[in-house]
Amino acid sequence: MRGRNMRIALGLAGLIGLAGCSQSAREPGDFAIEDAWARAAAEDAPVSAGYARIENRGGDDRLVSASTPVAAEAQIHSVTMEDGVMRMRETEGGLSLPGGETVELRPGGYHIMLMQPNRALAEGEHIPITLTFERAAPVTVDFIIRPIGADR
Amino acid sequence: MSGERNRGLRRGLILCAALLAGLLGYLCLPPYEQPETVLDESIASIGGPFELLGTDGDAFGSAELRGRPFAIFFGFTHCPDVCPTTLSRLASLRQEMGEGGDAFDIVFVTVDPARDTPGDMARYLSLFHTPIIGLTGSEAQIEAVKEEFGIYAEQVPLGNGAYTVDHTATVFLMDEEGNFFSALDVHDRNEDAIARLRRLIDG
Ligand SMILES: [Cu+2]
Repeated sequence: MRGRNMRIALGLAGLIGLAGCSQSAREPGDFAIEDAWARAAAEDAPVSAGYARIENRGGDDRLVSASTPVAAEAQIHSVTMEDGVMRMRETEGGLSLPGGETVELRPGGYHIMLMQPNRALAEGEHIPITLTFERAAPVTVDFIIRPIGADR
Repeated sequence: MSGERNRGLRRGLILCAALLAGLLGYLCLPPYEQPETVLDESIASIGGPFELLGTDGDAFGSAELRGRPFAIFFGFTHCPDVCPTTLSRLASLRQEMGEGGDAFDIVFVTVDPARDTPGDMARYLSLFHTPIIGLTGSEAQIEAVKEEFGIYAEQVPLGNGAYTVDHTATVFLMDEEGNFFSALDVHDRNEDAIARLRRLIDG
């Protein structure tokens, strides 16, 4: 129900946006960030990971960094699985967010790695993560904490 | 000189023929087989006795796993993505199986003994809402168990002195004698995974 209302609201906003602007080049910063969540972490846990779906309705941009008051550092990582071997890497130059496309950070793909959380992260609570873009202004998003083993 | 070249040519032809035969063989195979039939000898020799440390800090040997089949997975607590989803998948498969779901143990062995103390393992595993046997040990003990299970693991720096560990993320299913039975991987559908676990238990 909430999701549907949200979609309708986003759709209306999109229509208004379409009607209101007729510039040829799309402006940066028109993001719809949905389903933002992060993994629960025990007291003194070394890491957590944040995920979200980022719809870029503006022009081409990049997610270049992230930060949160609940962790010492946040990095943008990719995970690949090849021949049964898991590899995690920091993305070089951040994550590309092409205009008009949706990029999903999800388990087994991209995540925002939260390094050295400074407290336990409990299921159901919300934490703020600030996303910094190459062109658009930074955005702070509420991430809900899901069970440590959640896969979406 | 020319004899040598002929030999080289012949060798090249033989190699080409072998490659072609291999390719044809590959193309003629059915597109998807049950993973068990794909596993070769080297995989079937997986496993062996080990001495490690449990989450209470006491010695934990492979003998303590005898009599019950187990699913064993290697990872580390600084692993934010594949390790928790895999452990939680095992936990939910166990739950989905209902009766018999508790007839196998879940074993998690760290590939990062320098950072994962028994206490770290205990705190980490307490979040999964199902009993998981967490094992760490000395560098030498971990090396030995990795070798037995054919686990690849390599540290990769992440900047600021942090590091991650590339590692084999296959789940090995071992029978009640500690012999290799089968494997699970992230792409297996739930019903296939459950069917394999049932065969493991009924074995
Ligand atoms: Cu990461």
